[in-house]
Amino acid sequence: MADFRFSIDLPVTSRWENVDLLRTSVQSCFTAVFQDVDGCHAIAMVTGELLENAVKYGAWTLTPGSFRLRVEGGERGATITVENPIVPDDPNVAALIGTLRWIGGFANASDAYRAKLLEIASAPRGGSASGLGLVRVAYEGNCTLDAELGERAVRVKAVLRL
Amino acid sequence: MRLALELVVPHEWERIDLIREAVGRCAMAVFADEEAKDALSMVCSELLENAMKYGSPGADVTLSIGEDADGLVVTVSNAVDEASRHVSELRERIEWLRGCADPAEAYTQALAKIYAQGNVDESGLGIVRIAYEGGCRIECDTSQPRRVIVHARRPRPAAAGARA
Repeated sequence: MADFRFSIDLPVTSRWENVDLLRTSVQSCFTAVFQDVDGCHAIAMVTGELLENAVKYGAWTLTPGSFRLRVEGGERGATITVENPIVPDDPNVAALIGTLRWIGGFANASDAYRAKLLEIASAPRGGSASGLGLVRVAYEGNCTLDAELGERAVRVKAVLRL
Repeated sequence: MRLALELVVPHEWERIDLIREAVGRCAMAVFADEEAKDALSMVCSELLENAMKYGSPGADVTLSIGEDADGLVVTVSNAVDEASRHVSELRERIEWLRGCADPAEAYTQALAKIYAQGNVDESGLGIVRIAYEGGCRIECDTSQPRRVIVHARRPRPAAAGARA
């Protein structure tokens, strides 16, 4: 049997409209290669959440321009990596690392998801970032999440198991 | 920063539309340029159609989009049957294109030929569209047995960030 697969590695400008363009593009690639409806929704959701975080929390005022999306997919899963610029002592990076540790503190992603929903429901409206996107990636996307910190960039990687 | 995309897909016609959409959206995200989006989508679609039409059924087809020093390169690689006339006809078509003064002239000649013969299916118009509408230089690599690899090269559009 042929080894059907796809890979995408793109420099992307930090515009909101690119989130939807790339989310649907990754979805179409996955469907074109595997014709897997459930898998294509999962990979699109994960790609969209990570891209939204990059556009929302990247250090665009100091380093305007591009971030990077990498997606590699096979029949058993996919790896989605988004890399965006950061500044020294970036509070968004601390929040990211905190959320990943918080997720990792639960026995499974389902428990983390339920706890996050309860936390959001009991918090005052209009508060700060909820961190729900990463929890969705872990639970709904069935992903293992990881972050690598560089001097000027953070790379968030989601490994999706199908 | 360079872009790279590679898809290995089954030899099935219905995959082409999805890939064309995916390529177009990637191109918009990277270049924010409708002309580049339309050109890349069309080039991928035409090359994939040729691969599906003339390639060995059951064999996979690989599409890649990358960059080299000359610009963007779209490459489609597929297996062909030993008895296929496609490889020699494709080579002839590319040679004929190179002999034309410019892609516009080739396009006009190709359309006139189709009009005279009334046959679009085997017209080779796809390759001419890639050269004329897609602004591509086309090369064909047949060095591997029973495999044809077609490269379509065009200048890289300015990245969206570079224009902003």
